Amino acid sequence: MFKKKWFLLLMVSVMMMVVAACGSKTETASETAKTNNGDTSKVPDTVPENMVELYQAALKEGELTFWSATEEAHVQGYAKRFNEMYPGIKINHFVIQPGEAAQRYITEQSSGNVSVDIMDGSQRFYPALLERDLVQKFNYKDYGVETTFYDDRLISHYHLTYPLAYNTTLVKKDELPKTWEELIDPKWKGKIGVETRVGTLALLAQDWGAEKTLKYLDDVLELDPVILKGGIPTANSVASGEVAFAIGTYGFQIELLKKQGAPIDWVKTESIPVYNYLSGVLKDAPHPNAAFLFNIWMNSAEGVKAQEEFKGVGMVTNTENLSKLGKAWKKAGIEIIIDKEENLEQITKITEELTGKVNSLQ
Amino acid sequence: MKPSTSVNATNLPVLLPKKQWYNFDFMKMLYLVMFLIVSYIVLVPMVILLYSSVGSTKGTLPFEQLTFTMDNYISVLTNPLTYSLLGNTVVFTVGSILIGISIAVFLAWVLERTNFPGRMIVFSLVMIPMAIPQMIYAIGWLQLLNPTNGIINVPLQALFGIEKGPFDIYSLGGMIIVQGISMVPTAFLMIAATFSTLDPTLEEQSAVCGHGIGSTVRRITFPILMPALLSATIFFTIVAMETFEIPGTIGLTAGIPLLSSQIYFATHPPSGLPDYGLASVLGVIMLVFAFVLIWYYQRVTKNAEKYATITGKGYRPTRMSLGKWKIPTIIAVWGFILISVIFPLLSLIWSSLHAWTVPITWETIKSSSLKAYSDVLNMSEIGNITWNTMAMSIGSGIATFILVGIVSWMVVRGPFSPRARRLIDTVAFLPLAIPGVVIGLSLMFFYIYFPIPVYGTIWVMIIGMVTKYIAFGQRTMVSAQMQISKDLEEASQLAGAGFSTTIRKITVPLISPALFYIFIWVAVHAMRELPVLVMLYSPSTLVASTLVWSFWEEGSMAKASVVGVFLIVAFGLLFYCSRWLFEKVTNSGMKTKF
Repeated sequence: MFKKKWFLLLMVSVMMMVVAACGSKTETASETAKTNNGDTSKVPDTVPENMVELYQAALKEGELTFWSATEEAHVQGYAKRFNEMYPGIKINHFVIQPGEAAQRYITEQSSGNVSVDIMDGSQRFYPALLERDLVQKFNYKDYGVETTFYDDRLISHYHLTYPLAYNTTLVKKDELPKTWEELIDPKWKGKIGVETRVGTLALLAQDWGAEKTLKYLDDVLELDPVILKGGIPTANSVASGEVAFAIGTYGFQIELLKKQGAPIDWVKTESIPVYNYLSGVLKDAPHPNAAFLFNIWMNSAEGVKAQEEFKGVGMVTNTENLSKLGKAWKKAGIEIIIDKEENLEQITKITEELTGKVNSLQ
Repeated sequence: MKPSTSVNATNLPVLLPKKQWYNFDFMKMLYLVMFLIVSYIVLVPMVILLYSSVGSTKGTLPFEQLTFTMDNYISVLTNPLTYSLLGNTVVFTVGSILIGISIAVFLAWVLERTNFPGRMIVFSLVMIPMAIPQMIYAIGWLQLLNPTNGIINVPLQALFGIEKGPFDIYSLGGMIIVQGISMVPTAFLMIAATFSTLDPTLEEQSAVCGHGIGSTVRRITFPILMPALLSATIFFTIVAMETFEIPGTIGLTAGIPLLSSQIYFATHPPSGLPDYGLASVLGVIMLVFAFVLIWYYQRVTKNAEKYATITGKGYRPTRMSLGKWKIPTIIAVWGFILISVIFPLLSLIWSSLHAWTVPITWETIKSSSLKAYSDVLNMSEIGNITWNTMAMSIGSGIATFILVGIVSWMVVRGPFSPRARRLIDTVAFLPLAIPGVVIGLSLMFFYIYFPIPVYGTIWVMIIGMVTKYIAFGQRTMVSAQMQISKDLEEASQLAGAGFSTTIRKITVPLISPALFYIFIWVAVHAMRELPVLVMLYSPSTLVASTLVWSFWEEGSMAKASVVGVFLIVAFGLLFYCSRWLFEKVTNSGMKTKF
């Protein structure tokens, strides 16, 4: 009797282990290829003429793996639009933050087991890859891409915007500051939220310089701000009324909450800081052609439109394909302060200083 | 009256000089195998931790650096900030341990040793916060007690006509209270396992001698519980030093950074690669603390037999009557449940019904929506995620309890030299001091390079979980095993039973409550774990905690809260199903505890 019970426990344990292992089954490239019918000679009309060769090469690969912090549902939306233009190429998406993606990829690459083709992130996360020459150079401009970065290695997917957010119930319109400096007012003591990474101010430092920026943060800290972790919780704190203003949340999140009826909006400050979200195809990528095709599509008018449709992000400067927010800011005469390639070192340095200050680690 | 009256030189736990009823060579082999397994699990992250602490890792990953340097140590040890952070950390740790362990001891005693009504429901409720990811739990507290618009503060502001609520969670006190309360479920499990196997005869004799409840608890119960209390204290000392969720959500606004804040920001920089050198030095400092604590523990509990209360002499679990203390005890227990479980749980459910945090008004109640539930349930990967989560958490629970069940038996009962026993016990405790991200990175690196095909599978996640949680299991199991007298095993041998029969029929049924607690604890923590898994999961092995994290990062508080609610439901199912299975298999009569 007892032996039977022990046998039962043992079997349950073993079964769980086996089941656990089976849970990690992945769809293989050959399975994907079957769904593509393997026919690369027929090119749909939706494929532009200058993309045919690249598309055919991509179709042979049949899939690509995209590492990005973007929500899975949004990337599924992108994939749907991408496949309307370029059918037969599967997008495997893996939700991962750019910092973790970079170190994970470096580890994979050094062992010769690369599983990723393409990743995105602001330029702050690329030096580790560029120093190791791990991002592939490509003739993007031949395929209609207007602007490339880091010697034709990276191109833009979207702009991550950081306007000053405010709660529309707690702050009357006539009380709104017109400049970032006007926010420094004793009446907002204890009513300002600041995101721990302070990326917003690091971008403004491109215009202001380090000294003014650090002084500005000191002034903000004098007002006893609520320090918040993450751009999204920061927006949530404004919407909920915990804080009246917030530095460090995203424009798309403000728009999303507004659409859902939350009492939140952005302030028409004289300037709005923006991170350029860049993407590149990585060295030893298993599906480089599919990755280049997808990267170019994400930068194209169709790709930018899909990103605005599903995630609410887009381009706010340096292009004709401005997003809704970009148009609104242009109309309001707001200056866009985007992270420039030549300012990377300055941005990285000031970000470290600002983060140390705001987190009381200096 | 002292519980150690039966101690003498002949019944110390070192069994070597006595006649053995099992084959000693087999024991040596078992020790060697278990030592190799535990070392394998522990040494991979340990080596990476030590290696990166003496390397120049600014801008490089630990395995890339080839230059040995002491700069990391010099930079940390000569920086006045380190000592300021250490000071904050000590106050935070001591304060939260005092709160957490006091409440846990009280609850464990009430639920395991008295005739408190409704023990089963209280037991289940106490466990609930374990299933909620720490970050969401901390945010739940902020929603309740932030001074501007906290759900509890708002009505009090209106009542007293004040601008800010009377409770300000953004303070050292607030951090300590929330951390202390968040420790209660785990501390409760560690201590309840010992309470449940405590022989009541000694307490009864104390009562017969005319001592009241307070005197009996002080003179009898607490001394017997010493190993469990020490275990829990040691465990939480390291946990409180390492944990970042509560210092990160509450402490930053309070302006009170801790050592864990520095580790977090070193490993999650706003740009570039993490500074593993700096984080590793801080990890090594914690490792030193861990060594000192485990050395002290082993010294205090050297004579394991004196804590044995389950003997062959009439062990029968009975309960004390609360008498006139019944009503105050009910108020205290349910008051705690209300504050630590019901409020955060309602806050979580409320968050899951709204796209952003809103106050509770008639309008917002009417505008509540189940859309987030529908969105989560309609995700194409939800089936796969559920499957992965259950397989990974149950697999981790099973692997850990089997491992620590054997290792702790060897530490407490094994026929080995004290040095050998201390060695394996210490090795099993060390991973607690290694930051989760270092464990994750080490395992990723190791299994990418070595020809063991587990990278990107559930298996590597299970290995990560066992590494992270072996210390908890070991401390809990050693305390529980110390309470079981070896007389019972020897009696079994005298009656003609073999080694395996004795283990199966005597040892395992007696320690089954502790095994069950370890299984549940590890499984539930694996469900919500993030720092280790974030480096180990892959597109095909998404689990609930990584889903919460991605919802969180993407901005859907409601969806993240929905997953939190689902985790609680999954925990409830796991709890009852596994308890039923444990009862069936071990014949332990665990239900008598409820």
